Amino acid sequence: MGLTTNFIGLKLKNSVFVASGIAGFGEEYSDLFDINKLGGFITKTVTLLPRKGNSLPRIVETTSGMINSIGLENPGVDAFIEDKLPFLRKNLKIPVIVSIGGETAEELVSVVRKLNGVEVISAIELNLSCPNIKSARKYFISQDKELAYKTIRAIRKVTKFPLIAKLSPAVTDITEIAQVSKNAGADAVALINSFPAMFFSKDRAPVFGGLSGPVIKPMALKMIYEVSRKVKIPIMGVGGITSVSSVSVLELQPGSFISIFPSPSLSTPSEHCGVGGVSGSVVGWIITAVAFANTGEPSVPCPEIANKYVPYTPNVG
Amino acid sequence: MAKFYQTDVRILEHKTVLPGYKSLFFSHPTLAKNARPGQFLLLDCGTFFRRPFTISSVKGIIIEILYKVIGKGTRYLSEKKKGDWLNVFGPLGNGFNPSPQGERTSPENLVFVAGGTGIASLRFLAQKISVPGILFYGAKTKNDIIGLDVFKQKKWHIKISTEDCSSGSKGLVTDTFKKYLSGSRHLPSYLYSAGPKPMLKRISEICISNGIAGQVSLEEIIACGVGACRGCAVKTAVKTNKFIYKTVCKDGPVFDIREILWD
Repeated sequence: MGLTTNFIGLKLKNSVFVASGIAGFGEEYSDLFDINKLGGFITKTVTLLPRKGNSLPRIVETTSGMINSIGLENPGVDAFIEDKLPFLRKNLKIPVIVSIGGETAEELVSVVRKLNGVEVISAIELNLSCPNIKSARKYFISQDKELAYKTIRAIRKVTKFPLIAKLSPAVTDITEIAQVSKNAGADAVALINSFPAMFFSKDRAPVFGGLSGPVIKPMALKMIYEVSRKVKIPIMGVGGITSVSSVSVLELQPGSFISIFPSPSLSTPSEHCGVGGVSGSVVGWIITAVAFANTGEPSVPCPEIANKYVPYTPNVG
Repeated sequence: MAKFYQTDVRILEHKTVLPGYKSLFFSHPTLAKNARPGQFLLLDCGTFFRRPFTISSVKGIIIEILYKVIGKGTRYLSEKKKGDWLNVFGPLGNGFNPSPQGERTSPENLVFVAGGTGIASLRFLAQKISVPGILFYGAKTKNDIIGLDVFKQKKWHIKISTEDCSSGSKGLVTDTFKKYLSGSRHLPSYLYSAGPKPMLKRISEICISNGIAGQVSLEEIIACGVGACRGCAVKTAVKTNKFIYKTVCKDGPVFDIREILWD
């Protein structure tokens, strides 16, 4: 549709991404729709060493959302480069953003060093806020201003990749962490990761995870709003987007988001922000894709994806 | 070519089979052509997660979903009428392997064990297998026995167990099956089973200890359906003392009985 956006130096043909974790490493959904119709692709979080992930149960449906406790299951950065990147390299013509995670700054730095120079990668998203991994530390990196600064700073020093810091909503003041991220050298912030939450398994064991889905969208909106007013940093809006109408709220296009958020820091909104994602809801993502295909309105950020969604009308006698 | 589809279909027929059990029919030529026994569809049931339903029969271009009304999603689905639209996503998963290599599956060797609505996927498999075998079918009461038409037509030997003794043997199908094996001179050599997890675990143990090979179809809450979100993980054996998580939605729902590490 000719809509182009510049986001942290990446030229995007539209502003719709899949949030990290939603579409795995790209291959999983490739039979359903052409991933190249997206603005860009964010991988599932990759860590230094392989992670098997959490024991079961890992997901539960909640009122208007879900809790996931996957535990960052991933093959580790070496296997990612060897086994997963070839598919992305071969098939993706859009920017690839690799999401990385780790317990410490050192671990994250080691992951980044391995990704440095890999030509298919356009940017790195720092998952500083995964709510469902067991850690010796009781909090996430992005819940501690000093630790967040040190971590992002350390990574900034070893890579030229644009950095997107994905922040936890479970903080007293999200704008402080966003400011710190900017000061440390992050090129953008992704707002927000899922909310720390829990449910009980069938045998009454507590399961800790992250709450996502439409239920968190108004909370995501508040945090995006606050950061956009206070901190001059591009924002990637994530959380609870499951339909075209919900995208138009978080997705910062003129006439939608910006009319709600008259932010002095966003002079040319489409150049500063404007990336929608679907947090934690794969199902939601599919619905989003389908909704785009159905409306076909020019204002819709990504009208061509899910082109395989073709209503089939049988001959009903 | 897409291996699976997300599409709207019109409901051709939606009938009550027994109180609390319904059969839904729709047509879709390519989906019907690609669907294999054991595969499932994710249906839009008005809930945040779509609900997984096994394909219980394919005749020509007509696909049948046989299901029990259990909760919010199935209640929503059960209220759909003939002519209504339904959004379907599938066929998903690997499905049963009807002719496993190196295994003998002649009629006297073939055994199905179904628990509850697990009968639905085995019914589709029975449609595809030319020879009859023995079906062990466990249900709560005689009012929960569904989907036997295909087995009867194909002259299967049917052994029913109900928990309240209202039909067939009294008790669990696992006990009936075990009793049958201990009293039988020729053990079946291959098993296909679908039903609740505890039943599948027990059946697998019985079969392994009797040297019977086979496949079971797992039921799980499914989010993405394509193996991306890793929500429906199942522990599977790789080497001694080691395991990997596979996904029920993509790597399964059908697994070799020797592969699963039961809790």
